[in-house]
Amino acid sequence: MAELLVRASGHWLDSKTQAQVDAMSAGDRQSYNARSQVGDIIVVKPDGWVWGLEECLPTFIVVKLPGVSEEESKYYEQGLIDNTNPEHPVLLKRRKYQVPSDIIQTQIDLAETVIEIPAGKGEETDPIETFMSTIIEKTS
Amino acid sequence: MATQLKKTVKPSGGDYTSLEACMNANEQNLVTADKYFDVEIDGDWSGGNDTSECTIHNYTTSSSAYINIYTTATAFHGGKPDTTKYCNYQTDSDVSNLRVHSQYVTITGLFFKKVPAWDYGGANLTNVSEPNVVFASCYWQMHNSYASNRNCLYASVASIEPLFKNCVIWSSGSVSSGAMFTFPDSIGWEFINCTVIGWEGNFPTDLGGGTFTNNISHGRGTYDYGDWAGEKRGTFTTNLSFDSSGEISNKTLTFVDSANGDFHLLSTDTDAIDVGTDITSITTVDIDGQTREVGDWDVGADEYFAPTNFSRGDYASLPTTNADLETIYSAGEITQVSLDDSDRVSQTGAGQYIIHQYKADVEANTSCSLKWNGQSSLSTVTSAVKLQIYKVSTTTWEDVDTESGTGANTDFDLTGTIADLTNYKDGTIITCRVYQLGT
Repeated sequence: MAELLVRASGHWLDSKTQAQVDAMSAGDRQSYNARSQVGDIIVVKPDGWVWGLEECLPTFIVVKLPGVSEEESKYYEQGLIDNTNPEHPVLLKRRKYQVPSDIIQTQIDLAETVIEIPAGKGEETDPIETFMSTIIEKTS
Repeated sequence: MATQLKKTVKPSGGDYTSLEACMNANEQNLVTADKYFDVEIDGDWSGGNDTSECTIHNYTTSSSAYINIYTTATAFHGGKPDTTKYCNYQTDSDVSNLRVHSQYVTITGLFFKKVPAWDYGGANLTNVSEPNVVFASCYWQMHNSYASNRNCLYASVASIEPLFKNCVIWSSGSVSSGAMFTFPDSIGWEFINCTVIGWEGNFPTDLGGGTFTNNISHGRGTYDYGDWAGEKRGTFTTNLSFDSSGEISNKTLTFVDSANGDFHLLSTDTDAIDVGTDITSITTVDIDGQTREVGDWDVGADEYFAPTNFSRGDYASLPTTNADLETIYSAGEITQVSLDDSDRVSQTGAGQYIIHQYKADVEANTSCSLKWNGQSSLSTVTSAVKLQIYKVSTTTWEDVDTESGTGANTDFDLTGTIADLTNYKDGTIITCRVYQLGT
């Protein structure tokens, strides 16, 4: 089973205006564009993980996925990297996978760090499969 | 004046349970906040490793608003693999242990290990893309069994001026590549007093120049220093090699336990002892935090010190298990019994004990002699004093010597010889104690 630590807070660079972004050097703009975003899956741990004192709102929420192994979901930690030139890879996004922002906002509104997706019990629609299908895969 | 921002990373009870979560959560402009960022890694990590790749990214820093990541003595690796200490451990071939994209970052005492689960993928350290990044007393291990590119340190675009000092960089698997892989636009890498072992090419310096001082390099390829053709670029000073490519060349060291990654020097590794160049402007300590000997500077990550007995003072209660015994030392904590055994504590209550507990690093020796000198305010005629050694194989204490004829406040010696240390050594350490039953 797995638990996902998901970023719930905005990034300090979010407040940059377009004019400020336009004025950035190419390297800074690349870092800016790659910054962490709300919903990014930052860390994956096994079920029952005892999280740290600050691994909670307002910075993070925790999504519990009973029945999903840590190994199966570890790839959610990966970044989006442009390997067109393998000698000079480019970090496009800090994380490739993202939980939809409405789910994060709901937890913030409820002031509840933990969201546990119930394990399916033979229903036609498995709640975990439904949740997993909502995870966004960034492509650029 | 910058103020401290401090966060802790611990398996439990800290602010974060992984370095990645800590670094991700606190990204900010430290300059405008006028803060420096201390990240303390602490705790007993025997329950599991930190398995998330860490990226240090999108911090704005300066020389006074810097990032300082370090381990406490409890989480520090001690210069060798230790499953109870902090380790960033990766099996995903496509990720690295660490990426650094911020300036003014110092990382001290962390262990990074990668055991790729399939072919191709990342290094231990990828893309130090900003200047003023220092790795001190870090241990990097790549355990690879696949054919393709597996570097410890991989630099692509404009990797600039990272400094590695007192680090171990070990390729332990059946297949190896270069310890570092850099492009020509990567400049100014510095390796100072590092021990680099087991790579196909330890220092392939196809970079825009580097500084290499006091290192020990022993690869499995053609050259311990230099690129695949043996060409060396940069400044090389008093580097030791097992082949002919170092300034101190054609030497053979054995180390304490090479097979298990303990590359501390043995007393017999004389080719590495006292032959280095003093570089106190860059470092004053070795991988263990012990102060190096100016004028007798060793090469490699470890500064060799002759075995001595260490005292951690007197105890008012009798340890009952090995877990009660301290096993970690640093130069600031210990007193050498051979120099100072005056630290005595009078006992006040019935049922208490005078305990003097000490340890010795016996290295690869198979036997040793023990001697303890001291006294008690309680006559040994009234209550005998014993010197004991801890037998690891049976988890019991055994008597070495007993004193029962010396009066109060009078020095006496307890001595003994252990002819076969096999069952008494924990690594290279033996543990002894002196105690007297109170009245």
